[in-house]
Amino acid sequence: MNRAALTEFAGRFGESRIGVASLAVTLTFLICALLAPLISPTDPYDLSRLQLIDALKPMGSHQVVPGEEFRASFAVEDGVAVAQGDAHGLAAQSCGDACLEVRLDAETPLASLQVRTLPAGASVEGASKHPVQNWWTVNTPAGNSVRIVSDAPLPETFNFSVIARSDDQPTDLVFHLGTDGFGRDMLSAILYGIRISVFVGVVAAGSAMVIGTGLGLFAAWRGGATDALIMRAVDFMLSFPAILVGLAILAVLGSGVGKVILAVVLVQWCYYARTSRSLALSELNKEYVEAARGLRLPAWRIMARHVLPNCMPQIIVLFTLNIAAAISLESSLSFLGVGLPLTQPSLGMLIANGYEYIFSQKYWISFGPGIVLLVMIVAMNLLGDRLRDVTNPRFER
Amino acid sequence: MKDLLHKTIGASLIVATSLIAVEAGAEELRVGLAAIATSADPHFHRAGFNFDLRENISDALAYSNGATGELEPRLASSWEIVGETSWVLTLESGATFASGEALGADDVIYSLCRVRNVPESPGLYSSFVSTIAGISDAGDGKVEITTKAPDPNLMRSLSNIGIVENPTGTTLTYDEADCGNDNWLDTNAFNDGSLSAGIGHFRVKSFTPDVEIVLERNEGYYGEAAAYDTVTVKSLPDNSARIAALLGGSVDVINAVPINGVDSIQTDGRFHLASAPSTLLIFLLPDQGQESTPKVTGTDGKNPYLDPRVRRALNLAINRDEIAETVMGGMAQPASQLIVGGVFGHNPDIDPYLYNPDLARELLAEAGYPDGFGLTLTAPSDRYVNGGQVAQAVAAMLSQIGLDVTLETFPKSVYFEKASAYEYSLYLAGAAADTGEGLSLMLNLAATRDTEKGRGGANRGRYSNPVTDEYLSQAQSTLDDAAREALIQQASAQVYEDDGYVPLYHEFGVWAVRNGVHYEPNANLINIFYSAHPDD
Repeated sequence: MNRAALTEFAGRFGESRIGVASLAVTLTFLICALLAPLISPTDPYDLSRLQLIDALKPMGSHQVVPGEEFRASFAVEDGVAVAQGDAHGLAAQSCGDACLEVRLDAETPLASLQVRTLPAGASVEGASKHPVQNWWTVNTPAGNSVRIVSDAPLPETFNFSVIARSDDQPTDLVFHLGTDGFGRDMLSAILYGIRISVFVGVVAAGSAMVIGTGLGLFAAWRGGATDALIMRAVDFMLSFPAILVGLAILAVLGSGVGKVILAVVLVQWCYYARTSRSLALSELNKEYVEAARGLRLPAWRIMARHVLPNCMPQIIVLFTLNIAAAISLESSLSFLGVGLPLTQPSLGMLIANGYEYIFSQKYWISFGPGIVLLVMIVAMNLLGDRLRDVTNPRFER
Repeated sequence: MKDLLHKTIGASLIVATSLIAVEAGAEELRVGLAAIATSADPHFHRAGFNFDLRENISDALAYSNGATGELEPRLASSWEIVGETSWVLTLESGATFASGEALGADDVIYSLCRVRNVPESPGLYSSFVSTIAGISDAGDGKVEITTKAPDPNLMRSLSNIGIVENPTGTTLTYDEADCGNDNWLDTNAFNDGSLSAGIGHFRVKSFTPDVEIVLERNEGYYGEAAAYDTVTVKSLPDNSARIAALLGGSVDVINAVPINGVDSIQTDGRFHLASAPSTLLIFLLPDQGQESTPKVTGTDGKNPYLDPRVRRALNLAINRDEIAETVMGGMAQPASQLIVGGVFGHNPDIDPYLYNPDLARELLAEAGYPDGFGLTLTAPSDRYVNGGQVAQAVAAMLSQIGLDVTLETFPKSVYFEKASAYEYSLYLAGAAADTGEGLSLMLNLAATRDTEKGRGGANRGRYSNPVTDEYLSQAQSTLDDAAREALIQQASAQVYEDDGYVPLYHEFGVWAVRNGVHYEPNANLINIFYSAHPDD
């Protein structure tokens, strides 16, 4: 394609605003994919830097340095509480009948005081109880003290433990899109997820294109038994739903980027084989091929240098559409839990992780990756459509 | 005439009031479970979700109560040990099958024979009867069972075997093969309702695999009758769907409440949680069975897990409190031994593991891995509550002591097959004490793996120490409870000393129940419908 043809092609492509917009969006995602390690605020794959205290934070919250935690256990005998071991400044003393006050003498106010394993019937004033465990928590206790009270007199002897937590210190890092269940920054996870999805899409669709087109051309050239064999294999592959083939392969081989790519290639090569064979068959009857044969050029050269370039436009359109298909297949497999490793989430797995939290109103975990995936696939499909329109001679005015 | 009129009015009043009574009593319990039974045949497949249904529709000789830990009489109203290896069981005289036939010794012999003779069973119950040498009719409604060696847990093992009606008309002679019989009841006949599964609080009204099981009360039950006359059990494997079904009012009870759903159930106000510490242990098991292990890199082909210092480092690297409190939302208790506190065989002297990543790093360096090594942690993606999240948290903790961790997950349908083929080097799994006491769990996990003898069935990392084996073998044939418990405790201490296992936590069983229904949580994580009743 020379410069003039390229300019004309670009001009015709540019006639559609949707085409241009979809190209712009696709390029943006490509840039995100390439530059993810540079532009994302954190490295979501570095397990050693994740802290559970950052888990499930809503959009716009700050990363924190966990506050300090003091644990102490007390034994009560005859109404007198005695600390067992180092009490870290925590003290417990009686405050009347069936009442015991736990206090931390410190300037800084506590974030929470939790009292554990109280005897039956006892409770903590103003505390919320854990739904299952006998744990009573008071958030921001006034004067750093809480009262253990009971309707009936407290038993003569019992043990309890106290956990005091000071406030978490916010850092400068902001989670603009919130965090998931492991304290991963969603923005970084999405950027890296785009990177994985685009990588899988391009590599898988590219490999499938090379293998499928090669086999299709080979079948068209040889004809006869070879053609029949390859095309029946294509029919056989097309008779399975893509997701089923993917599930079967990954269930046997285990998860991993390489295996997902293998699954996508196995699903997609047959589209290219079928398309390139039919294109090549019609090209092979044309005069220029006859001329090349007359020159006694070798078969591979006729196919690679003469026939293939004339089939390329349609194959490139198919490639664009198949990248989107590969990304959505990869996301579906990851959503079903068989695609990529849990520690390197792609968009599909991020959505699956967030799906579990939908009922706890933590929508942001699946919201972001879901929108990104949707926009990316729609943009790629529109781009493919537009390329098809531009390259198809029948739409020529 | 007037007299007759009075009688008629009286009779119609009685009919009317009894109709009202029937209306009032005609209550239905609807339960949504994460996994429902795969068959109504009590001997078909040994799996937790089948124990559920079996306990409700087909009584065994005894019942191992998961709420109290006690062993209660069922079809055997009493039993005594005569000599070291001989037990005499008195059968419940009031128990009758759906056909009207009373329970007899021949039914017991037939049922225990059938355990080994279920075609197409994915997993037989045969290890529960493996210690039995012979069973005979002792006359007078009594059965005599002889064991090969003294077996203290015979009745607990038998509490898992439902007793079905003998169709042969003769009393079989017990042996360890087919008892000379070829007339075995057909599994499909149990499922389509043409055969009753035995004597239980409920009978199966309809059984639709993977969808729904409808049970109706057995009005001729010999013991205390169930409170609900219909129980509908729905299969709701998806966590969100199960919570939605509860919040939407289409079920009254759900099991396996996901941790992140607890908040929405609590804030709703119409439900309460029922929970109990369960015997289900979630653990990591490093491969200790081969010289070079498949999923480890950077160790020059050696298996690092054969070095006890590496295993100790794994145990020290994991912050169990944080996993139990944050990842599991407090619905678990950190574990340092295989048997949960309060269950027979728990060793109270075993200390909790310290969380000490610095010491873990030192131990790794001492073992010759100052820069760590590469390892793959394998976990099932869909088997345990929050399993995936726990595996990720563990992977993060292990990478903090300098190991290069990759996490790999498989769906449960292929996970355990691969584990049994020893394809993993460090894997996550769970195991519960099926019999409600600790010895069976220890034999399943800590004994040297020998699947033919039924030992070490879940010990796919092949922890093996002859000392532990010796304690367990002795415990197996010790009838004295105190001596047996001491032996199990010694075995636990040995596993702790060897760092053979990396126990993580014991899970809580959590059910969410609509207010107005009383539902009993069960430490064995099975669902008992007959103890449920409306609140007054």
